[in-house]
Amino acid sequence: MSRQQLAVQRARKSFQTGKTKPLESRIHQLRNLLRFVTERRKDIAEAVKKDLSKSEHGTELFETLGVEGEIKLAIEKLAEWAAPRPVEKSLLTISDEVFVHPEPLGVVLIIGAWNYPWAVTLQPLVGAIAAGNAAVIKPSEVCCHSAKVMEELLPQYLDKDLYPVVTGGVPETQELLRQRFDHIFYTGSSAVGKLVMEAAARNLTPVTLELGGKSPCYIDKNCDITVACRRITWGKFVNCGQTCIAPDYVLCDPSIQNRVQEEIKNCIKEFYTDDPKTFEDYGRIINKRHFKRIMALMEGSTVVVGGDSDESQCYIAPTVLKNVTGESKVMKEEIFGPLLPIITVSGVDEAIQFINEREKPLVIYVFSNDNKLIKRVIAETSSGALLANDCLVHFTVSSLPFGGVGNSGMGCYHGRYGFDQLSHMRSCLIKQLKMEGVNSMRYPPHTAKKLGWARFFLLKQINLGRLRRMMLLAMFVGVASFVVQRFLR
Amino acid sequence: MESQSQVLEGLRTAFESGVTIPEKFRRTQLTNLMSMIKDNEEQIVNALHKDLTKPKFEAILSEVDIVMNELHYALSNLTSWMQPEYVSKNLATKLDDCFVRREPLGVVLIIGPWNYPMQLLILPMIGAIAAGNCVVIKPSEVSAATDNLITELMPKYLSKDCYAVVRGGPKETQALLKNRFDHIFYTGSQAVARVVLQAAAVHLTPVTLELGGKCPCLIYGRVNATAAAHRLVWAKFFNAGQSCVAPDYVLCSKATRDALVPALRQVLEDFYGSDIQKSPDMSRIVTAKHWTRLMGLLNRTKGKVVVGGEHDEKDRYIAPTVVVDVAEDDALMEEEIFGPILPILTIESLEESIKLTKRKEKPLAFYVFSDESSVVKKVLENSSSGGFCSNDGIVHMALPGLPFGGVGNSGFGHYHGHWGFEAFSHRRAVMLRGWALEKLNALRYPPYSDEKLSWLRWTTSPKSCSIM
Repeated sequence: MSRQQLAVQRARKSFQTGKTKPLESRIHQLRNLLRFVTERRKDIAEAVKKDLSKSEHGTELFETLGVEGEIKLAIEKLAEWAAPRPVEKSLLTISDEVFVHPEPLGVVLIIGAWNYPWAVTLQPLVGAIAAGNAAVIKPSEVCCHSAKVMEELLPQYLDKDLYPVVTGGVPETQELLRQRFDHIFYTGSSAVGKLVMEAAARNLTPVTLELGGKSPCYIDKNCDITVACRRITWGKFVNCGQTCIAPDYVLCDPSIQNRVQEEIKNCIKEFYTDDPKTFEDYGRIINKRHFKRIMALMEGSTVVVGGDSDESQCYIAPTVLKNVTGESKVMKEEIFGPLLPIITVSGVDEAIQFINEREKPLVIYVFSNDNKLIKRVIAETSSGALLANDCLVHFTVSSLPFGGVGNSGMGCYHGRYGFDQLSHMRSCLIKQLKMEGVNSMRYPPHTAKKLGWARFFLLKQINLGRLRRMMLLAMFVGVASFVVQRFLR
Repeated sequence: MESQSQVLEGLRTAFESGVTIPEKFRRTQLTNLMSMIKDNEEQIVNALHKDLTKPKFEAILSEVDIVMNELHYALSNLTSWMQPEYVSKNLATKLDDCFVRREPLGVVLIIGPWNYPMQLLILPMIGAIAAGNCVVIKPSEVSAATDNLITELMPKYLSKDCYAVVRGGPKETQALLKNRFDHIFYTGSQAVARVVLQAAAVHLTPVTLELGGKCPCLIYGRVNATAAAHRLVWAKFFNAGQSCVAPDYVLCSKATRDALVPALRQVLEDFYGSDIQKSPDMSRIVTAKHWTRLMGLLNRTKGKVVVGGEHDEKDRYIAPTVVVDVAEDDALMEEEIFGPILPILTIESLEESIKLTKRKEKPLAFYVFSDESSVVKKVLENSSSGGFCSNDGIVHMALPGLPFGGVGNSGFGHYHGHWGFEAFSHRRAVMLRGWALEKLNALRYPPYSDEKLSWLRWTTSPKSCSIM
């Protein structure tokens, strides 16, 4: 039996004992996960530094802060999320219990990505644990230091059988995908997303796919261009552009192009100093393969800011490109690197057309003072999310669903959405064996009279809310008239 | 005659024009769909009788009224379903607009089965239309009369630009699946579901699968055998057992079985008379192939037939049949029966019965009959299934407030009522920030520092807004 098969089997056996059912045990594991993230801060930061040259502050800001927030939210809200959810009834089920019962799915597979190795692996895990599942965690082998730390340290905090960490490359992942899971949660590229879904098809396993795409960023003439460029610069060059929701490219009117370039140039200097290469808070490209890939994308465009690089360090400077069109090399794939192309369009109509000619992205950014324009972009485009006048921060609002559409993915998570995504919402109708007389109208032999009654009772929807309000009103009128009669004569 | 790809291209162009987006358009189409059903109730009932010998009563209840009900429900609630949903924020985003918008997916495909050919095709379609999509429906060719009727009626009532019927058998369906859709909704068997999922994976198309399974019916504890028999017979033999949520098999103790069997026999006579084949209220098996499959199961069973067993190949008739002394490895326990044969397995303890159901795939529905609420609770908490109903059968799926769908081998995703609207929508997170508070934003810009970080922790925690 392979290592992967063993891990899945153990997780399933452990799940079947029922130990994840009680909310206390889930909260216990979540508290342990929180302890892991806080106690092992240094180990995590060191690993990320080795993988992505991210500073300790950067790691806390962009990796663990989010995970801590999600865990605390889940612990606080779990009782509410896991409680049976009552639904409206029909006239005939008035005396019955009708509710939706959130239940665990079973054994979930979480495949993490390398760009935020902790955030995108542990945040889905929070949802999985909260929903009462077992989870096999497969961190990306590309961020090898983080994967190693996860494999060594996580089992010291979480139940080893319920939440095994299984490391490995492509063959190991393929072996994992041959096993049967009750849900697969994958973060990564669209290309591999298709393979995951195909593998899941064999066992009729539902999937959540958090993929990517080219997230456009439209800057309207009518906006605070200085502030816009600050926010865009920040959003773009965090993690060296290796963020699924990074603004991939900018669309703006030719008349503001130079201003945009200048502002971004100034911001880069302000944030990352004159020499980002030596600056602690500027990262590196994950590996040589991606370094080469990103460098090749510059071909055919003009570098106006940055452009310098150092292969030995996988360093690429924060770079802005111009003379870019829809056909340029840099527009052929998701950049996932610190290159910001600026494409000129004459107004929002052309911008919307440009965006709609391409696959639906994970997010669309629009910067404008004009609310009507923003509303137009919302109404005439489709994307996982839409954020106006800033970048990235929608990720931090746990009450917003985080996910894609079309090529950028399916399903969503964060906060309660993570819990719901990894639960089975079981419909429950609890009836008694009484009131058999009422049921008899649906039994054969069928007569026209019975049919008439059945049509009225069985399927008519009663707006109970309205009924209640009317009864209350009638009561109020009754009481009011009584009071008037009795006391106000 | 337009080719499949021409039809789909037309629908995509229509969708991209934005015509399905306004609420008024969706209301008009749903109202027209209502007229289609109302105006043609008699033809619908006749077509269903032709396909399945479905009694008028069953046709009205389970194919006409349930659809009309869903339409009323959608029309009453459409406005509120389409509203943006505002969500709670943290301090850093207090001044921003954060909401979730329900948006149509695009062009969706709905593949229907033959057992409830109207309901299981039109009910999902209602959700798809309400959500603002263009829709391709593929009725089952097995229920041919209904297929013909839907193909004839749909273009007369619904916008021909936005909704299309595509017909054919497995070959045409496979060709259809090669195209790119924005959602595929499939009701049917596990085998075909795998094919659908694999085709969907090529385009990263999300899918809803409404499949089946062997729905167990546990009868334990103190039980009113007569009442239970009424409901069990009704649920089991409705549509001659050809329902994805029919109770497939019964588990009970010997004593319960001995009380149940005579009750079942009596109820069957009360419902259908002494010569059931002559009763107008009993359906037939849909095709000769399925009739042969069911007779095969009956011939191979090692159990004892105690009620029914009569059959007539020409009429595709199988009498409501009860088989006792059925073991776990019996032929009747191999696959979903989907017919009027009810095996009863004798298992003394409730715990053992629960264990047996755990050895099988998760079904679409799980039933328990008992006057003891502790028994009901125990079964609910120690089982997993799409839906759960105590002391009755099937009726839980008629409540639009409840999500109707499976888990595990019985499928994923769900619909009915609001859930149908959600199934065919994309929940888009929208955040509209202002320009102010840039100083607050400065906390997140490099160079990073401990001080900045601790301020940020506070402003982005969900608790911080409770102070305001």
